Amino acid sequence: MNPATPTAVESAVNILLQSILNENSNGLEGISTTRLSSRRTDAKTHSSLLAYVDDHADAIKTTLDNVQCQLLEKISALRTDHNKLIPLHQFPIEIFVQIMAGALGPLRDHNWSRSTHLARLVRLCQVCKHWKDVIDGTPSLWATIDFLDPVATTSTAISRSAGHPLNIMAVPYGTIKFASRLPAGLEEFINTAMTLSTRWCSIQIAVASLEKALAIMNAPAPLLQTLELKSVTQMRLGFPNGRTVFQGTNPKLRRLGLHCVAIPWDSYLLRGLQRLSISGLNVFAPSCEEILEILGACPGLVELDLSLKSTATVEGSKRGIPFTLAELRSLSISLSPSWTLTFLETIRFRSIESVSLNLDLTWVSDHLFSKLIQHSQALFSVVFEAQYKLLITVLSDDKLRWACKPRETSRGSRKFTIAAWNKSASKTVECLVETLLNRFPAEFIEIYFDCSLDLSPGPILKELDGVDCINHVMASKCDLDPILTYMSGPTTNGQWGFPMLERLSVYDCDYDPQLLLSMVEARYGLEEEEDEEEEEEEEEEERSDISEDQPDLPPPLKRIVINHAPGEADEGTLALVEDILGPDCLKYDENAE
Amino acid sequence: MSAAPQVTLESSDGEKFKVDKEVAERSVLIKNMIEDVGESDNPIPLPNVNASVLKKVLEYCEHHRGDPLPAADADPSNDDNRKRATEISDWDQKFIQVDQEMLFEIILAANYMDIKPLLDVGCKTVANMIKGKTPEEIRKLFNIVNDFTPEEEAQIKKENEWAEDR
Repeated sequence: MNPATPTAVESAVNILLQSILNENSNGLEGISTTRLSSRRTDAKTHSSLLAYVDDHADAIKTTLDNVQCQLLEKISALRTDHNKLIPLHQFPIEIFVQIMAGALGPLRDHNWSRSTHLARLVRLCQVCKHWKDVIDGTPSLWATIDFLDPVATTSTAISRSAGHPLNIMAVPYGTIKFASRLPAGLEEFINTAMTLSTRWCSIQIAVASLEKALAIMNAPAPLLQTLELKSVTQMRLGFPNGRTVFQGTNPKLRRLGLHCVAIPWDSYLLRGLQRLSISGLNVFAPSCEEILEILGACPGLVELDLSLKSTATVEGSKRGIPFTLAELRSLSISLSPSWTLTFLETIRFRSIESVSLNLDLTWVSDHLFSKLIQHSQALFSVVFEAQYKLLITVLSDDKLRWACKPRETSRGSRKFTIAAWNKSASKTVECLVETLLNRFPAEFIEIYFDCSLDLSPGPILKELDGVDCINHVMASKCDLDPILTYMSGPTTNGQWGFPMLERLSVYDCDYDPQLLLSMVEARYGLEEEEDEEEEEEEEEEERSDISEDQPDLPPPLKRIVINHAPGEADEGTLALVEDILGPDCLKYDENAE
Repeated sequence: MSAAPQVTLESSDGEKFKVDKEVAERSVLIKNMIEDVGESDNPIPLPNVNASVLKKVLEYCEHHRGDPLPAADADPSNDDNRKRATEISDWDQKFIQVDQEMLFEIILAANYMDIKPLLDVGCKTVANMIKGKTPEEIRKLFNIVNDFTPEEEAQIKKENEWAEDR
């Protein structure tokens, strides 16, 4: 079949127009004849003639509209034919649906916004008729409803989901943590969701009253696998025995999240879970022993998130027999230090990939602190294989954060972050040096100084004497001079400061360019030439005295990146640095804000 | 020590690939064929997969030869399964960095040869290509044309106006 050429189309349109005109030609001739005699007709006749003409014009317009409509439909059909031929549409329908389902997941880097499942779904419907037909005809794609969706769309989705198990988001936008009350309309949405409880597969639900929370827990929900119950205020639900929960119909709950909601901590709901999250509780929080009992009853736990503000200590209490959470991949805890220590001492991990520990170290003894660090670093070795590097960040106000991150840009889920608050950064670094740093080969370690100017890195640097495994130092918005000085010569143990350093990255720091030049000259074995012979001789004598103890020069620096505030770069001195380092080793600009 | 048993696979264009039986049996289709026919020196024909695609598929099977096989009854509505549906390992990401034509061929081959993990990787990759894009961007990506009539398009846009800024 040959495609229609523009000439052929034009010709077809001309024939069509001619046909329309011919169809109406008798009428037009009639009008023309009548017009000649119309001068002698009365007004009534004249009016009817005008109506006659208008009718003809309307008839032509209607005919043209019909023709246009038919042509547009033809174009649409041809485009549909085009779409049928593209490779993506050659997939069997079940594969195509699998791709659609994957494409409906939220964007990884857009977690701050809550684009709803149905909003993403209807956007996909707009691509072409095939996509719309497939999506409209696939109940599973419509089985996720969100309070943020319009009521009419939710009704359509419930109807199209055709009995498929439902995923329900009945929580307001943003974090409930700071909400004082629930938004209008949520109650109505929850009431609709309650009528569908026998189809619940997963439900995230926010409540403002104990009655509503109990009503949810008493709804028949035989398919429920995931429950996240959140409350605006702390509440404790009492159900005297497990049989009353979900009317005894719930054999499949695997993931449970409780925010500001306490339940009896010996409930059967807390057995055999794969994911558990408990947060926002203090007075109703489970005790440390109860937590350990719960975890002991969930040997297949994959994800654990505990954020509790209980001030109770566990010193002196029974810590129980150590056990292993062999499947646990993600651990996030924000507990008191003594709870954290008990936790880390009691539980063993094998498969952990992501760790986040948040420690408030106020009033923590040095002994407890050291033990915490010791257990934390043991976790490191479980979490990370050699392809991960250690990133130590010294934050302002003497706080310290150390983390591991993948060497390459990766979308993998592995991470390790510990935020240690209210403890001397230099003290923490001291512990790290003793126990942690030596576990990582040099090329995997970076140290990141992100201090305010009133915190000198000096005391921290002192703790790094002799550490020969750091290859990258980053500094941001801090006083760089002590770091440059530290790098310019031997330290207390006779080795160079950062003896294996290859990269230095500086972002918006105050520094003396001459110190930078001196550091580079020193590490490259270049000395300033003295004009006066006498001084030169004295220097020579001094050098010969020192040279016996002088360590070998460190390896050459491979990369220095310096980001200055506008107008701050001393280009003359930086050019001298560049001369020593060689081409492509120094990069500097003036873009810092 | 005896060598690992091997089988020969023949692509649609007649190229033969000798591989370890363990590697070939990542394909449920081939595993079933071997079980049905028994040990044989005859090449196993794969009439729906050409040599360049089969080579790529076997590269995947070789890398994952020791991995546990996926459960046949994995529940797709399971949250964890859905979460994993968007995650692709580093090696798989590099493996699947091919042009669109090859990507689709791999998906079709994985489906035909019944290699579920490879099919999943392919589908996830296409899904990630779609994510976050506008309908027009998606059309451009896959050479799809807008086949809605103006009236249909206006109607759809009106119905879905609420989703525009989400």
